[in-house]
Amino acid sequence: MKTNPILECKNLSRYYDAKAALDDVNLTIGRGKIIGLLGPNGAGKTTLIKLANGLIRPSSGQILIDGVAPGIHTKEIVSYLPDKDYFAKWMKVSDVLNLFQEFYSNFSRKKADRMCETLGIKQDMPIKAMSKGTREKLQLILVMSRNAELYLLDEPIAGVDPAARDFILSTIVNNYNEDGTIIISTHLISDIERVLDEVVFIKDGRIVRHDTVDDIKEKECKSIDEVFRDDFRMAVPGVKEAGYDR
Amino acid sequence: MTGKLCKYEFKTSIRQISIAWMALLASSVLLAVIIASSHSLIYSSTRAVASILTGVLSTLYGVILTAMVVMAVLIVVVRFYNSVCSDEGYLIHTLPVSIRSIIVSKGLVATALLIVSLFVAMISICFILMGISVSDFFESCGCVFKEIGREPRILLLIFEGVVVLILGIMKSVYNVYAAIALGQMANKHRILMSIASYIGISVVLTAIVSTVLNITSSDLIREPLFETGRNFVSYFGGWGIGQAVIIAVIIVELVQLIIFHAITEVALTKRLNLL
Amino acid sequence: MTWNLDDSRPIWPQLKEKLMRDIVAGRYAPGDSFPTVRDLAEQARVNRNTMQRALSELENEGLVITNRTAGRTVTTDEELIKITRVTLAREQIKTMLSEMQQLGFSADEVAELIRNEGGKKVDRNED
Repeated sequence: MKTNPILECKNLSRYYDAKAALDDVNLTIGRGKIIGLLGPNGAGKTTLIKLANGLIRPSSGQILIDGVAPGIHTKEIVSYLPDKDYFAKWMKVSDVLNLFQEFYSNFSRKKADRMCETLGIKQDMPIKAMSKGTREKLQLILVMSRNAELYLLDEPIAGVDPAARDFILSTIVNNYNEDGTIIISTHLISDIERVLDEVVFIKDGRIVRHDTVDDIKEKECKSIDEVFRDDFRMAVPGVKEAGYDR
Repeated sequence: MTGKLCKYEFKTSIRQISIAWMALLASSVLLAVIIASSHSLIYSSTRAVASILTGVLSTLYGVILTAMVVMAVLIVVVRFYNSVCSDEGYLIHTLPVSIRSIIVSKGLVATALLIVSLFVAMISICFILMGISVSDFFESCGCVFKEIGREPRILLLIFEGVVVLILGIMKSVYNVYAAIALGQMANKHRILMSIASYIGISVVLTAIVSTVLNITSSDLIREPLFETGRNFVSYFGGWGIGQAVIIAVIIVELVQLIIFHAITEVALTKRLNLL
Repeated sequence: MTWNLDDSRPIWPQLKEKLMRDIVAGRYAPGDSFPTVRDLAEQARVNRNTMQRALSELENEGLVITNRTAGRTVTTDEELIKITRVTLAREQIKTMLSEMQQLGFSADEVAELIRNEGGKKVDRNED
């Protein structure tokens, strides 16, 4: 297993017009871990992930994957699950699998076929005819069938029913390359906290916490979910802040 | 990599336009048949029916032709726009391929589809002409071949014409790409910005052309230029100068092509902004 | 098998305790092969590193032995298992006693209550 950090952010900033989506972010992520990137909507999680994928460019500062800026090499070793539906409508399941097999040398077609079979996704099913849930599962299968060094999962369990959520988490935990790092971005913390090694809290484009799960639990004797709620507590209008126990 | 991208691009783009091609060919054949058969009709009632049908089918043909042209243009624009500015970009830009491969694959497929569309349109017109008079059609063809036989250099002209056409189409496609690539750098109103870029590029091009024209027609340059031209003509003859002009046009198209590609590639490499 | 985990405390000690209980209760007989980290982590729905840490602790205490060829096996040291059983019981009793003391019971009163309770047939629900 390589020892250099898989992801590094050095004074990374990204602006959209005048607003800072990411503000002077410094972050180092090691290998072989499952990391939770936690924060409310609009905190900058998706921006950070898109920067890591090279889908947008930094306004200032650097982001490095395996020591290099996002480019062809990093795209080979990064497996990305976006919060979007990106398949062309004419494709069938087999077309999609063929596409991934053609372009990614570390794509395991066998694994993907097996997972599709487990889920009852037939090779000749057209993407158009699939339900949203099934399409999301297919995208997850594609991502986890790659033997990547970094997996970036953007909100994999949002908007999904609890049974599917269990399946997704179980798939994530059991199917990745063990030397690889998984970064899961979400705002649903209690569902995934047992699966995480470390958490990164992000708020208004800044990193407010980066610790191992064990350290946080030992220090604060609370679940990550509770710590998150405390860190991100918003004032409820009309209620006096002092003495209000959520 | 570019080859694989071309395959994907082709499969995605071909579906709709091939329907338009078939429809165009089919309607042109129908029209041709109706026209051809109406020559030999004697009864006024059938002639009336025939002329109505001819009118209807001609309109149909016109509509399909327009639809095909619109579709072809849309395919060029929309395919590129989707790859850079919409959800499909999340797939394309995370594949381990260079931006150059992406641009080239799209440019090649778009140009190929446009050329085939042109070709299909020409064939459909031939069908209609044959419907009007088969003998005239083949007679005209025969004349063309005779002329070529008399002056084989016409073949060279035809070949050069095709090259200029292909380059011209490719250049226009890349022109659109450059505009879209510049437009996507903005965070808001991206379509508007793309249109503005397109206009901006046209303005710049026009400015360059008029500057060149001004310079060459200025007193300083005009005389020496004409002198060179006269020498050139006396040395190479009319044919020579024709060739020189064609080659100059080809070079100008190529230069524009390269510049547009460069703009597109730099904008997407340094300032990709997938929202 | 249910893993009742408390998220407000580190998970690995809880996993370790649960596995110790299973061994002590005989769910894994001495000398039996022990499930892999993967399988256990999947069952418990926890991070593999977390489960690995719990297992390493079990190894340190000698309850589980890692064999390069045969994987992990439960110890055959019956004495150790007995000691562990007592240790676990002691911890439970300590916790219970401190809670009872908070309610105002003395240790003797608690012992009396236990004897009475022990006399009845207890319906053993699995932990």
